[in-house]
Amino acid sequence: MTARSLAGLLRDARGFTLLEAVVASVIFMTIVFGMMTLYSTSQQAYNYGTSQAYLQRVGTLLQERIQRELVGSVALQTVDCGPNSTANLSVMYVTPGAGGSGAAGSQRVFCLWEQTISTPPGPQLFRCQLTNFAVADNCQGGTTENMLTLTQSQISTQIDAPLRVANTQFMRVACLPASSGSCGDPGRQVVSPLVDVRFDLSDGVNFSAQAGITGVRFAFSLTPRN
Amino acid sequence: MGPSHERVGISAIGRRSRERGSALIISLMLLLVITILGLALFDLAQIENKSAAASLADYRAFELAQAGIERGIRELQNGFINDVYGSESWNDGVSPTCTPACNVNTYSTLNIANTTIPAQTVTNFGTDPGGSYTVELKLLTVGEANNPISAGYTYPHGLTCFSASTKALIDPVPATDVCDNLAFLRSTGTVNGPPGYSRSRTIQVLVRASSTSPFAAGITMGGGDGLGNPVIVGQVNIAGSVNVLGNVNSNPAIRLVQGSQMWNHWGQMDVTSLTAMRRRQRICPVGADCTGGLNLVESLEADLRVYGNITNNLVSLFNASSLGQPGVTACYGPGCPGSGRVGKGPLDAIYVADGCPLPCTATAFSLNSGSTLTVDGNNITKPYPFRFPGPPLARADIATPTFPDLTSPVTIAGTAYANYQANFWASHAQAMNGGTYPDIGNSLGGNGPSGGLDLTVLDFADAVSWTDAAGNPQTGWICWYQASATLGFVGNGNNCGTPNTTPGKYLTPANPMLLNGNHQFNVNPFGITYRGAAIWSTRQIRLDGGLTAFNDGTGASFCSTDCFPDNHLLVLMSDFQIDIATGALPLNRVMAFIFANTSLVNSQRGVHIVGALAAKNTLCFNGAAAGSCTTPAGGGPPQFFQANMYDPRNLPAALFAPSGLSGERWRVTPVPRFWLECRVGPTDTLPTTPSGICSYQ
Repeated sequence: MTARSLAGLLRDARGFTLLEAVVASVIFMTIVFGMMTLYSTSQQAYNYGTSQAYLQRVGTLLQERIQRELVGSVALQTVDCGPNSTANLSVMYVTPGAGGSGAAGSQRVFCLWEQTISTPPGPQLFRCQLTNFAVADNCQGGTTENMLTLTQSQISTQIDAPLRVANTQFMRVACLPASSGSCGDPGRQVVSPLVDVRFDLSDGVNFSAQAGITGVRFAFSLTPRN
Repeated sequence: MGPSHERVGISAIGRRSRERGSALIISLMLLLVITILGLALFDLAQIENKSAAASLADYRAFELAQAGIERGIRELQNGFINDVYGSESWNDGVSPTCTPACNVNTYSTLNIANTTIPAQTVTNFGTDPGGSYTVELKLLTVGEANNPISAGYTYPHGLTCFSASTKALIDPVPATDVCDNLAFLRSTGTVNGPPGYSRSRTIQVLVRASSTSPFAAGITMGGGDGLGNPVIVGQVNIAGSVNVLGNVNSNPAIRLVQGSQMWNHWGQMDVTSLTAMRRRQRICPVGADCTGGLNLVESLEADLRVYGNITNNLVSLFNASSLGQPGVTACYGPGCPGSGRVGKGPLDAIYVADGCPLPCTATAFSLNSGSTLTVDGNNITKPYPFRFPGPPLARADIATPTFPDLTSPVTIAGTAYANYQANFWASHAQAMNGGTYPDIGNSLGGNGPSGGLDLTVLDFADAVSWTDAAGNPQTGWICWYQASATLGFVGNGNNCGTPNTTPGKYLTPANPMLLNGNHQFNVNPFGITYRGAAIWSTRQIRLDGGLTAFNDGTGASFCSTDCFPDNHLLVLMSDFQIDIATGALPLNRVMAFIFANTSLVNSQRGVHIVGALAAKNTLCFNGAAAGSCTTPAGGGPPQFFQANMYDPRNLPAALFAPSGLSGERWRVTPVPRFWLECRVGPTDTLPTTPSGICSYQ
């Protein structure tokens, strides 16, 4: 190639027109946007799935733990206990314990309640030991533990999702309806120690309140056996 | 080809090359990203699915274990009921049977069929994999039951039980005896599924067989007048259990005044009555360390059970009345302190209201003027259970407990009777009235000048015949010995003149005289002694004098071969009013089982009522003024002491013990505080005793 032909070649290289550049940019942006949307959606779905699986597992463990403790209790009441003063947010119960000396062998009294915390991570489920099986009895010092942190796992650390509870409710079953469906016999109101328990568990990030349910809802009924 | 063509060709080729490469790479990258995300989500879904399946299997295993417990209880109850009357036992090698044989040392597998629940399709919920349960049984020695701490166990507290020695009236009961009515049940539920879905859970309970008879209890009350008036009212001291089967209108159900008390021991009983009875097994109470046999107490295992509407007041106490006391009593009876007879203070339990801590803030309790209630543990009440955990109860199949009255269905000696009074009693007992039995009519019947039986009545002997519970004809004599003021129930071919030293002269509770009297039953001051055993259905009863069971206790030493109620027992049943110590004078004691089928029982002045007391309507004690009760105040209080058979299997078969339409005499229930889920892990091996992961902690 001679010098003349090279100069001619450079003179002929006109580049992209503005229209070409705009069209190319739009196409490029569209593709990038699509990819970002896909990534974002996928990431959200992944987080949602991870969170849900985690909440499901933690909630199940929590449910089984509560069931284990309350089913074996020798007495329980859905009354205010510990620092809680809101109706149905707490339950007070007595473990059977072993024989031996002491006021009641090794029986212990516990209070389980939803603690309202306005700052992050939000409301928690606490348990503490009481001195007496008495309404509004205070927690013994150093016995309060957070039920939600008892089941911490690697996942919660990785996804940085501190758990919170909402809509907790400990309700004594007031009566066993007769075949008519109503509680016509008031005597039946005193015949059963059945208790209904409910709580919503969330990580505060991936779940928002829907239809009044915050997170994953757990609800179960139990009968103290002792 | 010119230069321009060449340039265009190069450019086109280059562009095409770049475009093809980008699309492929971008497509592959997108596919890769989507695949990775999809796989991650799939993996998450699988984890969640496995987690949910594991939880479901775990829950199913728990329910299977609980089902095994229920099955075991039913099998044990059947075993008891199917045994020959009077010899019911879980230690007879017949029912139940175990592999290896049921024993006190280790758990053995209960031999029961059909313990596998097959898989089945559940509508809208897929397939239930089914599963199986294994039920194991461990018997207890008397020593282990009474004082588990010294036996090396950490059970919550000790319990009494009956055994071969109690059946044979041996006092004290050897600690090595095997309990016939107390056993540990352990059930393991297993759900089998694909690997990772198999789960097992284990539950352990202590079960006990109890008699359903009101004659095996303390005070048993019906529903009262239905107008809301109390069924127990006035000033009274009660040692033993109180069971108010109740009425939803009761408001209150119990009204006790003037320092009335409820005890869990015999510490206040007069020494003559005390030495007329065999001692109770001593047990380790809740909250005591009984290592080496220390701190053992005699307990009546007393509890208070009141059925009613908790929106009403159910228990009202006034003037420093106390139900249960803290601590233990001082040593009582002859031989102290060496005898170790110390009584338990707190009641075992209170089944009223909704499980509230005492003094309950609910309306169920009204504790006035320093009145108190004291129960085991943390001083708590429990809800009155739908299916009553202990005796007695008629018609467990309906919501409202009803009083077990003389018209209840019963099963006696293996024969079912739809109506005790009409179908059994009328055809078995000796029919008698004051006309056909003038001696009775002129003394007990109140037709004579004394208006009742007392020392002015001359000796008499009346022949009677009856059919025993097994259907065998029997003959005997009602003998009155004026000199000793003794009413004798004689049988077995003997008569009133037979020397008292003749073995078998006097009837025993195993074969009591059955009397169906259409007459009053009046005893004047200063009371009589009775000897032998009889069940006497009468009309109105008036006891202005005491009824003392013959016994060989001396007040300084205990009875041995002649004791109440195991050797000498009088059962009084009436459709009419019963008055005890309502005359001018207090009585020393009334040793009897008393059953009021309809009307009031009044008791005013000082008297020790020892035995069992049941009334369908109302118990009116000293100073009672409510509803139909108009008992004057003064001279009281009367005192009741629960005193049942040393072994409830010795209760006369002819007595009714209804617990439902089937008339079953025994009920097997779990003992509170002993339900436990063994903390078993996937690799744990269950211990052979209630220890380790199955221990009480």
